[in-house]
Amino acid sequence: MQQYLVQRLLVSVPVLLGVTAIVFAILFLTPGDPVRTMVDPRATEERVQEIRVQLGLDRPWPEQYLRWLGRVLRGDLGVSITAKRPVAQLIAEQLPFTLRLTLTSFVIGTLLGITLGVVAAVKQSSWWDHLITYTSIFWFSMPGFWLGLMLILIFGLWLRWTPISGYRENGALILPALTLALPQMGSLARLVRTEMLEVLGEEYMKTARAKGVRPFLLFYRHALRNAIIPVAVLLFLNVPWLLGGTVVIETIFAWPGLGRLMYQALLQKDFPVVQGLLLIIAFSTVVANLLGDITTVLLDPRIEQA
Amino acid sequence: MTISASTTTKSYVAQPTRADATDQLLLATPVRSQWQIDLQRLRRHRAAMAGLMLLLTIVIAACLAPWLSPYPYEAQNLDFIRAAPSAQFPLGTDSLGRDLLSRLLHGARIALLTALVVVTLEFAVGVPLGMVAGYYRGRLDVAVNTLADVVWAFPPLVLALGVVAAVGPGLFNTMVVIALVSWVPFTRVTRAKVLSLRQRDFVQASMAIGCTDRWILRRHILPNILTTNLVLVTLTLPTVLLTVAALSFLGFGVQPPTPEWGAMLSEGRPYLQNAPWISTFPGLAILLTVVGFNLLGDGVRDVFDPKQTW
Repeated sequence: MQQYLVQRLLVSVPVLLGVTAIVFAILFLTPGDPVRTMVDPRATEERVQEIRVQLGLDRPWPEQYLRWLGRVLRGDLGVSITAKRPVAQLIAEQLPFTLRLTLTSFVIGTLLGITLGVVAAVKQSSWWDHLITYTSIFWFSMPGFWLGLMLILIFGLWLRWTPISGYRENGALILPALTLALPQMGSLARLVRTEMLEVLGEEYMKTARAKGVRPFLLFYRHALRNAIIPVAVLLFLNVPWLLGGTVVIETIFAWPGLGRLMYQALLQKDFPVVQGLLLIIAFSTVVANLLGDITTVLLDPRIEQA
Repeated sequence: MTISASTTTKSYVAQPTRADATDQLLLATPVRSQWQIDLQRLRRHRAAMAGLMLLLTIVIAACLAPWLSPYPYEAQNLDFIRAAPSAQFPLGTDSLGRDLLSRLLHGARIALLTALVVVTLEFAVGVPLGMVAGYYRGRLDVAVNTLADVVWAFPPLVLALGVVAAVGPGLFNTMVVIALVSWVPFTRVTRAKVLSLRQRDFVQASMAIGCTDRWILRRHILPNILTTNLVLVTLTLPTVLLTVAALSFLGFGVQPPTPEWGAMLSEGRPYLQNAPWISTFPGLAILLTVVGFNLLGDGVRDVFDPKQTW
């Protein structure tokens, strides 16, 4: 296990380096002079040159990259152009809101998805199964921004059950969390169903049934335990999609968080913030993948740690 | 001179053999290729056919958009701003008094075309990379894999947003950028398939008789990875459609006045309370198209690649 871990961590190093290279390169994709866009348009050429030297932007780009990488490794993500505050500080302030939203939707989506998937598999080919299978396709085909607007329209504007935006009022979390959770529920239900059906067809299930294991134990201990392994991995692999979804959902619901911070930074072309967020998101993806791999090894004793 | 596989087989087949009599007999019964058998099975897949019908309807609507639309899609009618659905405007009008039905129909063209172009680009980038990585293995494989891991560390929508914000929005940029951030599944699937194909006898034999790598890749590997990739294409189309729409919804993709569904939906956001149809119908159009692709994609996967789950 230890050896596997070390090996897996070593593989992540070049990936993380590549990630920083892409994030750094984004700045060079902008047409025009980055300094010119930052300063007052009336600034003289000498002043612009002065700032360029001050920021180290007159240096060749490999040197700029290494300097930037050095700062990033020390936790310095630069200073926001519009807010004039350290990017790391901005991110740290917004992170709790995003965590609250994503974790809530994660819990809702996972519980509903696994339950529906198990019901569909256990009652295979029944009316319930068809209903669940077809509605899951519907749910995960749903464009998140449209689902969000429809929930606002129905529950916020027509029925007036929930607040439609912001985060201060009670229940403000419900609609954004549902908007993120429902498509997840759909894809999870399908996966759980497929995995369960596969396990239910195994010989050891026949043996357990023949031995007279009670149905509840049969499904819970024998089937679900085995079917859940790929599901657990998918949950980790879904982390980046969840974070990506927050850009749209937090914007619609005016929910403070990393997603909305990203949207605003994009609008204002505040590239230090965009870069910082991209780094954080990519980093958490790499970590999530790592955890996914480790979970597979931990949950499935049949896998030899190659 | 190199002896290619096909010339040797041809000269062999040309010789009359004893098996000819049996061949004649077998030919008398209708022979169906694997392809025909698969198509037959796809035709019996009820969900896939439902998806196909849905998609065909949308494709026909897109093709006939100029003739089906009651009005030109850019025609403004300032007497009917945000008019509710009625006999005159079947789906209502938007903030500039433009007929929503006409815009939706033209939007179908944009949605389908962008999705097709992006998936083609992804295929063109991803498949060759996967082929080369799986065939040559070694350092090249490690390099391709690392590149794929790096690109896939970013959620496609988020990286696309970052890049488009830098290079500027627009139809062309949107398509290129989305393709550049989401070709990874094509590489991974192709690579895995090539790795196993490489060990098969017909490939090993070609290597042994000295066929060039180019020849083997083109004649033996490429035809055998197409069905797997066909499945991936059908399952990628809806994702691409959603990404384009999301990008446009946020204002970084296709720009108004182009009748793009995501952008249209976004234009209706401020009037959600009083004119909900402006946002509702474009979203419904996206949903139906994506459901169509997913239903068809499921069927295609069941038929062509039953053991694969992604």
